[in-house]
Amino acid sequence: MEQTSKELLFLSLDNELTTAEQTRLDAVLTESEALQQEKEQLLQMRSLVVNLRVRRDNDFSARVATRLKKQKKRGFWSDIVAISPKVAAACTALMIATLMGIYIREGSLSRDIIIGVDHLTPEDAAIGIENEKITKNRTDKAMEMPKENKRDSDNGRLH
Amino acid sequence: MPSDAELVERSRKGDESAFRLLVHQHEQQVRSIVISMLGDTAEADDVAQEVFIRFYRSIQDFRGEAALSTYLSRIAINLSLNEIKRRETRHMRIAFFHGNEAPADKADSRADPERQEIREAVQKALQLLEPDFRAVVVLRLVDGYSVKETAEILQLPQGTVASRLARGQEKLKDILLKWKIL
Repeated sequence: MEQTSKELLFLSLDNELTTAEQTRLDAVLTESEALQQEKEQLLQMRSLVVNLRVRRDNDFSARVATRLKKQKKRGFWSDIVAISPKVAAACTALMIATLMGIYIREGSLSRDIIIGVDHLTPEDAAIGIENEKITKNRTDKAMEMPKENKRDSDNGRLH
Repeated sequence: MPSDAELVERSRKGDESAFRLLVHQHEQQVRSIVISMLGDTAEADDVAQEVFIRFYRSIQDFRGEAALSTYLSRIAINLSLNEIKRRETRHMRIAFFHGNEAPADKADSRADPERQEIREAVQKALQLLEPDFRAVVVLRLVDGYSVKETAEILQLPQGTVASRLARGQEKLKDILLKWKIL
């Protein structure tokens, strides 16, 4: 019964009671000094909490505008960090691990090593060009083959 | 005074002065929520600013189905709850590396705040509530939203809000009684 009265008391503070419930609560309040005291304390507490509402800060909008401008100037990477610091940290760790792996294996972090062309010599380039020519020739021949086959088959039909 | 809808529309088109006016109109409400949730700290000011930055970034998606104040309150509560989680993680890390030291900025319910200002004491008492209860108390009592509106902002059933509000107020009253504020 006491619990129910207390529940009614809380609801009454937020004007959430029906008329019948309010009448019931009023009746209990008249009889119970403890509940009256509870109500007084709750009302006092609520008035203290209401006072936590802050005053206007006239500089606040300027601070937001400045921050917004700063963020607009920042690059893609800063945006990633702002949106998801964990993703940014994971990407950074992955990049560092990759570079460390290359360094341990190759002993250097030169641009040629990173892109994987450090072992190539000018002769490799010549071979590359030669290979390209060979490949091109083969492709050209392959393209010509069906024509010859067609001619053969046409001849066959004439005979 | 231009309406929220008008200011939002102008801000969408890149009118910075309209956005600043919009911030000015809602900053008191947003700062009240964030400061009540986090305490009056530099972090709270950062979070309050971030509420408007987030809104600016998503302004094209704002369809005006909810009132702007409700929308901003929702962002403010969510960012505050995220900040509370971040603080807890930080405190756990500190406790892990430096033994079980109590976090320096966490209020102590046993401390006697006789010499503190009442407002500061109430603020500290509020910080001792569970974040979920605190959010309900702040929206209902500090910002003055109805139970129904609070339920909409937190996307919770009204019954849950009413029950959290009752338990939050009960605990807050007990703390203030213990501190002899009431």
